[in-house]
Amino acid sequence: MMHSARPQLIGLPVLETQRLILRAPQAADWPAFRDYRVSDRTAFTGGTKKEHEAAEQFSSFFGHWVMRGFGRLIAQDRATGLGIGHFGPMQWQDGAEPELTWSLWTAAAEGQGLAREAAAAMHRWVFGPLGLASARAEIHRDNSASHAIAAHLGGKIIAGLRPTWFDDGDVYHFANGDAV
Amino acid sequence: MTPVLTTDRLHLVAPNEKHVAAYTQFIASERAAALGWSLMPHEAWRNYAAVLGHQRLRGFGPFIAEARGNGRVLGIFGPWWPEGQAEPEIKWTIFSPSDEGRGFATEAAHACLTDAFSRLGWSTAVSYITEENARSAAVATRLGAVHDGHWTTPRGTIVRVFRHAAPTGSAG
Repeated sequence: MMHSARPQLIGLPVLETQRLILRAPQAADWPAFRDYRVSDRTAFTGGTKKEHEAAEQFSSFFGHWVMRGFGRLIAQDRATGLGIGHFGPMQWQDGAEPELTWSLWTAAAEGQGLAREAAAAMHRWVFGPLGLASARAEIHRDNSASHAIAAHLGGKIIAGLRPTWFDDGDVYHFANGDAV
Repeated sequence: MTPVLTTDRLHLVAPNEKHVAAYTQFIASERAAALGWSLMPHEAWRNYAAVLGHQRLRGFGPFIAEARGNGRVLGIFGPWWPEGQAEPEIKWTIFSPSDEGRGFATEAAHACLTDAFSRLGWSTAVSYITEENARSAAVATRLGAVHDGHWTTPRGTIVRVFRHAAPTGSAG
């Protein structure tokens, strides 16, 4: 079976941090993303999915960039070259406030400040070069590591607002100009 | 780059952001529900984003059919092989009941088959069709496909496999 050359997403930003490079999603990221999405690591982000559901979500990362001009970047460990998570704004509904997302794919990547480092770079890009006016984030009640990142990024909890994606948690608001 | 395939009545073009409204309106329709779709509007948007992503992941993807005269979107057709699907498939979906029965699916799918066996270099292609979708099975038969067993989709639906031969005159 022949394949046409795979057209890559072009013109996407590359964000560099001390330990990470955040760059466009690539087909080669699929196995690591799948392993994350079908694992129980997704308890705070919509729950464990079947492989075909994970495939649809992964494919949608690419189309999201085409339609919105922004989307998820993959954080790649400078030392190992491995993708370790996805970071970026998503907007599934026209006119809705974009949602900032950050997810580490493996337990091995946790506990080193990598999510905070990548999320901060993503936040600087979203409110700098990308120029979004505001954004939000939905965080599960029990996802303490993610709450800490939202607070670090200057997010403010919107009182009384409950998340769309799961039963209990907080919705954070981020405005352009709020300091990290 | 994805070429534009031109038939007697249709332009088959790469899907882009202009087509999302027609796609999501179809997904929300009774017609789509009868075909097994059940997505919320935001999920339909994401599903369309995944259709666009297929092109980036595989290097090919389905076409949107536009009427040659006025550009009206008639449906989505062509090569489809997401992760988890057993074989490369030629799909056809007419969005509106008013466009059924006019040969558009056969016309578009034939062009897509020719393209898949020549430009994409496919050596085989199937179409997965549910047991109850007699209209679609008739399209497959008109295209020369033969019933070749069954496949259980990742969602657990048992579908008939129709296997296509290389269209006459293609290089495959």
